[in-house]
Amino acid sequence: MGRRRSAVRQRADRNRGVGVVSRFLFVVGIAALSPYSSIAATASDSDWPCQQRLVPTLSAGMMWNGPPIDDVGDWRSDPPVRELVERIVPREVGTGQGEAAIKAFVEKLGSDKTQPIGRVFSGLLEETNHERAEVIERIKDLGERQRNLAALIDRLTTELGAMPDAEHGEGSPARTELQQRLTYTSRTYAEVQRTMRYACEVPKSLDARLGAYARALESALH
Amino acid sequence: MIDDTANRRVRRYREVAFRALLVGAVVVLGVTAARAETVLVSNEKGNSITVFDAASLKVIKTIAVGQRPRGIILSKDQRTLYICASDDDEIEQLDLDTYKLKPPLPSGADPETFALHPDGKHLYVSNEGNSLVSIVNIEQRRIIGEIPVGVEPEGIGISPDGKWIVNTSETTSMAHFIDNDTKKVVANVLVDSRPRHAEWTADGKEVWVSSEIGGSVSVIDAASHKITHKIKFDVSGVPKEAVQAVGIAIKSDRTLAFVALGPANRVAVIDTANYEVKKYLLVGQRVWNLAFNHDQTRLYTTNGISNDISEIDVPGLKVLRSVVAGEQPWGVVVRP
Repeated sequence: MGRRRSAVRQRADRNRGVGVVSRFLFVVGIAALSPYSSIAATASDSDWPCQQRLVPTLSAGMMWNGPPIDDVGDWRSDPPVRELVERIVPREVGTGQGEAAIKAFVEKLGSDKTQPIGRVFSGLLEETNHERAEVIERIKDLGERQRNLAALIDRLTTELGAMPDAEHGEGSPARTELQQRLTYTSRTYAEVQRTMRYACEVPKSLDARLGAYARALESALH
Repeated sequence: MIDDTANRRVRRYREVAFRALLVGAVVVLGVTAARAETVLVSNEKGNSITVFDAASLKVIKTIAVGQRPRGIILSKDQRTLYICASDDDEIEQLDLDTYKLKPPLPSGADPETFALHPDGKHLYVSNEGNSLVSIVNIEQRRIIGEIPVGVEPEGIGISPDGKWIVNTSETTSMAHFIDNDTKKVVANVLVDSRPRHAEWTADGKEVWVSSEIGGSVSVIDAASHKITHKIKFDVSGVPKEAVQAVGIAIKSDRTLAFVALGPANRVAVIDTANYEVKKYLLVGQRVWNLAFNHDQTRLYTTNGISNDISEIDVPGLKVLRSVVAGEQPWGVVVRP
């Protein structure tokens, strides 16, 4: 993908085993074996196969109602902040679990909560965007493979329709083989459709979790 | 003697009249108490309707309904909630006195949203899958007509006098004006990409159409079918792609309009005197649809990603609170 992977991501991937990357490799693997799909490309990004419009990057302004985070400093240079961000940003961490960790973190803070809380949100935003970017690339790959498979189904259907009955009637080896290929690719297409529905939900679930984290941090400021 | 008898009668009449008034007042107050304002929300993924008490925003009831409930509308007598059960291809009817489902109405394929004709007897349904608007006779529980429109019909709005239907089509990016007498499309107005919602002003002079991908609202003059104003949104610190205009609510006195901006998580407040954005209000994530309460002092939003609804103080233009709804809240109405 050419994108610089953060230290958190690298560590998280190592620790995870079967994580987001491997799940998507599985997804892409299925797609490689499979066929066609109806691609709901949007006017803004023709490679984007999901119904929801692609929002490539999240910004603080979309969900942060606390003080500006531009001058909170580097979140990585604050060890407790870094530890919290690295602990709750992997995708396997549930929202409730992450919120509990945030609550425990803010309870230990002194009177000046604003800076460290801003740094936590800054780190969560950055790392969630890394995670989202990888997910988005893989969804686009999946969409491209589906488009290719859709083209294959079209071709097989045309070939089958053009086959002269006199020379290649029902039961002939050539027709049987073509029909089998078409059946197989059509079946896989249906599976990919289901997979695509799941894949398109992933950025949304990351957005939802980041929003919940933002609200948990903000409530500690009041 | 005669005077005493007459006086007694007068006193008795007064007493009876007073008691009748008292009983009447108790009944009215009782009904009001029993019929406190409620906020009804369809949960697209949760396959349910959540009923909130509007004053406390506490959940009164959650009712399991058909698959993928999206558009919801109150009946004219406000005793029934019509629900587009998109994946069941039907319109469900929820009795709001008993919270029990009544026999469903037909809808045509893939009903996403709909509008109730001012006669209260007909629903006009957008059938996203087959480029039609279906007309449903509620009493007869049957489809009495189909109007071909553009590809993937979405938003639908009916003029206050019931003479004009405006339907938006997602793929062709058009607002179609349909004459309700002839059931024919008489004008197609090109708007920005992926139009979502059509909202008439209470005086019937304008139709406001939101465009999700275009991130704009086109204000169309109902008489000339021309776009008179294009409202754009620029939310500081929010990427352009995240600004997706969806739900619209316009105050009946036409002083203010509100536009839901999807993943920008904002509701834009528009001054209708000059069609300019007055303020952006931060609400829950992926704000989709909007509904006023009966006196338009409160506005409720459905937030599809944070799974909650937000309450806005309309005179103060402030977000008061957000409370959890079901999974992926989509439509919202307020029952007085």
